[in-house]
Amino acid sequence: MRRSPLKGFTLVELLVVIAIIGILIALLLPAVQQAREAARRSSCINNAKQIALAYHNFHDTYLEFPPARGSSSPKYGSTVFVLPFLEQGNLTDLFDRTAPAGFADPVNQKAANTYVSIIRCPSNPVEGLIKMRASSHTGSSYGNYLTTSGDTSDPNDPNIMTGWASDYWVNHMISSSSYAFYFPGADRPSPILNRYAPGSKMRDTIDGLSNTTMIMEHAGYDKHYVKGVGMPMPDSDVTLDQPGAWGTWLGWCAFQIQTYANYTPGTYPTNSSTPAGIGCTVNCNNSQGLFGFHPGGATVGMGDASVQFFNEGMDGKILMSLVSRDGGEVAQP
Amino acid sequence: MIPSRLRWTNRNIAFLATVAVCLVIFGCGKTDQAPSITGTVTVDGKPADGLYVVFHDANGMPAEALSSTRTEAGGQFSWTLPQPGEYVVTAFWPKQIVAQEETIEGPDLLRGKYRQVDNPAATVTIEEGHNELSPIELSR
Repeated sequence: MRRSPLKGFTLVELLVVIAIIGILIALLLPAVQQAREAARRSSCINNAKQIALAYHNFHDTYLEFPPARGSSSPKYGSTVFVLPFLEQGNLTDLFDRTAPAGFADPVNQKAANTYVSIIRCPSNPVEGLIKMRASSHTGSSYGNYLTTSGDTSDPNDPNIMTGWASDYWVNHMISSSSYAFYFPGADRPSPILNRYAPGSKMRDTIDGLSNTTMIMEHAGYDKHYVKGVGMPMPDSDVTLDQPGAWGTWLGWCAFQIQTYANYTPGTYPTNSSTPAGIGCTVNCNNSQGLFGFHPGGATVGMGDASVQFFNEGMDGKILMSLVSRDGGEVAQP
Repeated sequence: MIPSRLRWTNRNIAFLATVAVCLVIFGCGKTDQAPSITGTVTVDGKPADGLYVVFHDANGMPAEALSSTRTEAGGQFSWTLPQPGEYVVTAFWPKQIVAQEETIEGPDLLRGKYRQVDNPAATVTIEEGHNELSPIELSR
């Protein structure tokens, strides 16, 4: 057999090199995906930081925090109050606070459908614009879709009003049942913001601003996510609280922080609002729970505008201590 | 030669299949250990719905709350506990505060009477498999 006069690699050498490169890529690829999620999480943490700072700047100006449910009549959320401090003064001017239906008024559709990246966490897989719905009867039905002229049960009606879903919410209340699991007999304490009344000040947070939560990741609307059962839940499930109406970003983006049981498909109740439970604190249920799409936890903006990552193994007692401003508990994030 | 080799292969396949079936059977037998429970709760003789039943580890110091469930219509509950054993059962019954657009759980209608592990609503022993608890009778 005559060898080629040209110097070169044999077939076997080439195959070995290709195999080694293949192994290296196989090692690297999962790490690349991790790096991408880490980048999304950084962006998400940055948003929470900016929003927390906006609340601080609001406090600097008005000497109090806005209420968690910004305004009841007409109805709009605390986001409207802090928008000027997120350099969205023009958008704030676009929003008509006197419109009778508030955030769900047809005249405020333009503002509701304006994309502001700071309220969206890039890790959230749910597409942003959601259809507004009337109030839901959790466990039995979701309300009709709100249209520019009334409401409809037809999901394809072109006049249905929409809005971006916010991923950063505040707490208007602490679930008394969740709190009672960990502090038997104690009265339910308050979260950092008052529910309806203006006038909550930094000095009211006697547990300490760095030990009290303010901005919580509460993502995935208007899909319902329940850990261990179905992620996301099928459309037949109607146990997500306020799927469309309050979930849009200028609405009441305020929830009652709750802990959950570790559900299985067999134990998850689909005929009522989900009871408070023991065993799951973070990333359990995006109905009334702290919920983000990061592996292992969710981001939280604290009262001092620092941002913490609460991990999924967090003890319920610690979570309940941190969400209260005046519980008198000893807890570190 | 080839037919005999084939027979060997078949026998091997049969053997492996038997092993796999055994593994599946015994493997499944292990996972079903979490005991299921059903029961009812009455307050002053009437079935209480929306009442929380909390299960504490009876041997723990302190008796840590391990699991909880909420009664449905008729005061009935059915639940799965993490493991068999002795449990101290405490209870609280939040008032249903119906607002215009939401229902919120409020203060304990039993005023914390059955909320402490030293004065529990019941003490139960849970065995593997299904457990039908005797009715828990509370008073205000």
